[in-house]
Amino acid sequence: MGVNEFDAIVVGTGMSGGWAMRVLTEAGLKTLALDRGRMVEHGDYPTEHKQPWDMPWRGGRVHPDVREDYPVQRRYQAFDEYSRHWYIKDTDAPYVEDKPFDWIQPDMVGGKSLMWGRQSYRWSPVDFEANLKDGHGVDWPIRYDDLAPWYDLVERTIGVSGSREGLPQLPDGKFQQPMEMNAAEKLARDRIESTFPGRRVIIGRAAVLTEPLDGRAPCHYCGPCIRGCSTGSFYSTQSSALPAARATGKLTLLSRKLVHSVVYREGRATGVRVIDMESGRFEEYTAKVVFLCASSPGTVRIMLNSKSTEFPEGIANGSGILGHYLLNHHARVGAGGSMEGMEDRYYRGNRPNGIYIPRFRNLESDGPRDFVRGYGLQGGAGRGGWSRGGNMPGFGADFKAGLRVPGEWRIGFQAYGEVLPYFENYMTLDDTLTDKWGMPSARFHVGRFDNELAMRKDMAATAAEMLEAAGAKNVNTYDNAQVAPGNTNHEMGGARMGRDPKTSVLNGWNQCHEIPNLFVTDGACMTSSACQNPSLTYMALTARAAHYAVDQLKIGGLARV
Amino acid sequence: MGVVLAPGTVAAILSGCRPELDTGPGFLTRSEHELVADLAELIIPQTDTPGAREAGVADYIDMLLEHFSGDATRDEVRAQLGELQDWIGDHGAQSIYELGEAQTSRLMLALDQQAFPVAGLVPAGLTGLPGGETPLLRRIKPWTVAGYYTSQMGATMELHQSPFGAYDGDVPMSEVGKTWA
Repeated sequence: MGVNEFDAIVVGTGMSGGWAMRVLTEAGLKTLALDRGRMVEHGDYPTEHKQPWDMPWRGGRVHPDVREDYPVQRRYQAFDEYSRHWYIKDTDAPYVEDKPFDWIQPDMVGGKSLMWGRQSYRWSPVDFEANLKDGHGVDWPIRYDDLAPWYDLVERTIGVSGSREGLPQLPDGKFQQPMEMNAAEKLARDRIESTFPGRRVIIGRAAVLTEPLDGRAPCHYCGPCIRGCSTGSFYSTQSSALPAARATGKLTLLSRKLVHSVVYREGRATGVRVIDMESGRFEEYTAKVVFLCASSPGTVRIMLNSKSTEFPEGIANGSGILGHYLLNHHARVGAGGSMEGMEDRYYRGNRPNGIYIPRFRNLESDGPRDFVRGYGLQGGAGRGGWSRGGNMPGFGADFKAGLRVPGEWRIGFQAYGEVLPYFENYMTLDDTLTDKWGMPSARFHVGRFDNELAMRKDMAATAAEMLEAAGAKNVNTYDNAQVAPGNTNHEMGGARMGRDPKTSVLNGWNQCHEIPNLFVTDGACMTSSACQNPSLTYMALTARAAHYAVDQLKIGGLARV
Repeated sequence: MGVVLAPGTVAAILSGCRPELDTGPGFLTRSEHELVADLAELIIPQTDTPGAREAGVADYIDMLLEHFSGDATRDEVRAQLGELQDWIGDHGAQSIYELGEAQTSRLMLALDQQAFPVAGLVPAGLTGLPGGETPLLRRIKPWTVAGYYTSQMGATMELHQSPFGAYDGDVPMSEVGKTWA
């Protein structure tokens, strides 16, 4: 084998790419993993455990001179002085918004696995059957039972803490001990569940350890996971997948390599063309199988840019739908209020997790509504901290003494809702704009339609009615509908799975219908969005597809169709 | 301050004329910086723990003004500080504290009510206070609070930080004692 020849190539090293490189190397394949971002080794987390007074700008906003380079990333709520180094510099990688679209992007090996919210929920049978039943979108080529054993594997490997609840719409997994609710959350749970049969309030299921796992320590509850975790207590590529893949001796990991296109010859993907981001030179790497795990828009951009005589509109795009049916979740809608009493109760430790109300709309026991599908609500309660002082009357020793005591309990819920698959939500390549390295930029055309707007009204109303049932006072609803799609992360679709090559790009094994050795296992593959946080499902799909690819390679099954 | 300035000179400096003598390291002049430090200390005074002055809150506010504020905010704050210094001068003092405890209290109450009106509270009844679109303490107070509680003194002496280790979701308040920083 030459230096540029591999058994497998994995493009992207985040939620999906980490799993692809792990499974492929553990199966003995000589694997090349490529990432556009810079190298970050486990523990190379410059702001971890830093105090505000250790930071040049007191741990707050990013300095305006630097913010200028991040016109999109700065729209994201977690973009601050502690985390700025994880985000892509928008001025190097611009894109076009036909309609507002916030593409929040990491720029390092490990990708969003270093920045994710860690909420880990299985999809349910309802989610995989929804398209078929209500006719929105094409039918998924797989069902829950196809994925269940892979959820088991992923949960056991990454470590997910959570409680077993026996809910059909949110199947239990292989959980570590759940985290605890605080006093106000427990009270709210009891009152909400007794007022609304069919609604449950559970502790978040999070890929944060409560028990040791494979040399990774349980969470020490410092709080801000996004700064990195050198004890490996939350799952990331660096804390789990990368050491496992390296231990095989089969991994070559190259950072600062921008994948330009997939090379296609005679019915197969023969490798990838890559721009070395330091020298600007093109390089080519070959392999028997290619996994695209560059995030939904990232992967679709590479595919659209992979043009050949047979596929002039992008590789594996015989259907013409590559780039269409982009999905996301719509959120930034919910309610908040205050809880009286419990002044003698408090908590210790910064729990990197909240509480969750699983979907209850349009299930067997509910509906029909004036919208299809559903939403879950994520929330939590806590006592007011010192920051309330900035908005309080008063001054002097009494004012100071008042802030030494925690404030009243506050509680809130934010809804995350399913977005239907629409042909009209799509991305293309722009004709003229390129990134700093000359690769055509993405152009987004993504909106929200009647179903989402009707759902939002219900989201705010149910959040409020549940808070009122919980005994909350001064309940206020909000609906920040002006926050653009994309801002909730969870980019999905663009190369969806399906049963029919005329209406989908991938088959039930995440394999391109038209190119058997080209797999797409990141969010791009999703046929519907459900309302659960999707990373766990990407990981399970990737593990499943990678095992399938390994088995097929053994029997020569990834040859030309 | 090493140099004693006549009230009129201070007013002239604070209202925009900035001779070399009064420039500070950031946006605020030395006299403005002193006035801000006094205001911050009056909001969060030294008690059994350090106050805003010792915690360097004026430097923090100066940093916000120099690096994170637009011209409109800077101009308004500068004008308000000048007007406040004039008001102090008109009442026969060079600094807020020189006004004496009773008058200082009345002034602070009036500035606070201007920024955070409380229904039913009798107005402090002072005239000639700094004007502007955003009342002075609407900015200075949240800046003081943030600057103080994100300082090491504020976070570890006045308040305390949650220890690393376990999470306990339901602890008697008496065991914790005070707000987590």
